[in-house]
Amino acid sequence: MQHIALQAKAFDAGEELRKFESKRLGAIASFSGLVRSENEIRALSIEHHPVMTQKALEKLCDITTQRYHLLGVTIIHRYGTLKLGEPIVFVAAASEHRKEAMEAIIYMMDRLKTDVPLWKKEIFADGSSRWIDQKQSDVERSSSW
Amino acid sequence: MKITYFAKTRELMGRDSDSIDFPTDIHTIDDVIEYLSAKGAPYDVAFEERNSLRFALDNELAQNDASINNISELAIFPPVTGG
Repeated sequence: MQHIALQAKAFDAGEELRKFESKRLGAIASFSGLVRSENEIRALSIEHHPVMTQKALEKLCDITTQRYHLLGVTIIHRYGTLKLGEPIVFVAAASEHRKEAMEAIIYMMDRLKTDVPLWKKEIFADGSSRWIDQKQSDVERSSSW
Repeated sequence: MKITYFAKTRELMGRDSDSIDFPTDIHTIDDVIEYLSAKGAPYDVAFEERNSLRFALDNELAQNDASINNISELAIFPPVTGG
């Protein structure tokens, strides 16, 4: 099972986890990324590419499924304006044993940070905004796989 | 050729796309950036950090030395920051 979604609306992580079904399934690992309070920000604005973002998410799902022999994988990424505490991204991986599922979600998040066309902008209380720069540590983590 | 801009590059450009017919001696993405930067604002400002620009040709990521021959759309954007 592959579930890939690029959407403006919020998602329910619990509901997404209940969608996994397989008799061989022994482990599900998941990660949710949220908008956190930092530098007085009030919201995040997330921009995507109309074609490339979806394609990149699909490719990442395929590569991760093959690499970790997954029985199921989910990636949901939101775009638009998200307030503090709101979910941004959800990844989940299902496998026979825990090691593959747990490594798969770390791999997916590391690669997502550098391989998927998405851009974040911080929106501050006074209405000003600032595009977030790509972190060198994210580039290093992604290229270490 | 259609040129599309995203995120910070789009904001610096002040628009999300251009349609430009390039001279015959413009062969690569590097040539495009050089040619447009020489035209002045807003290109010179938007393309100032050359090493921080990323590109896609017809929706496929491309290196700066890639040929634009037979390409209908070039996308220009900063390094990605999703997740």
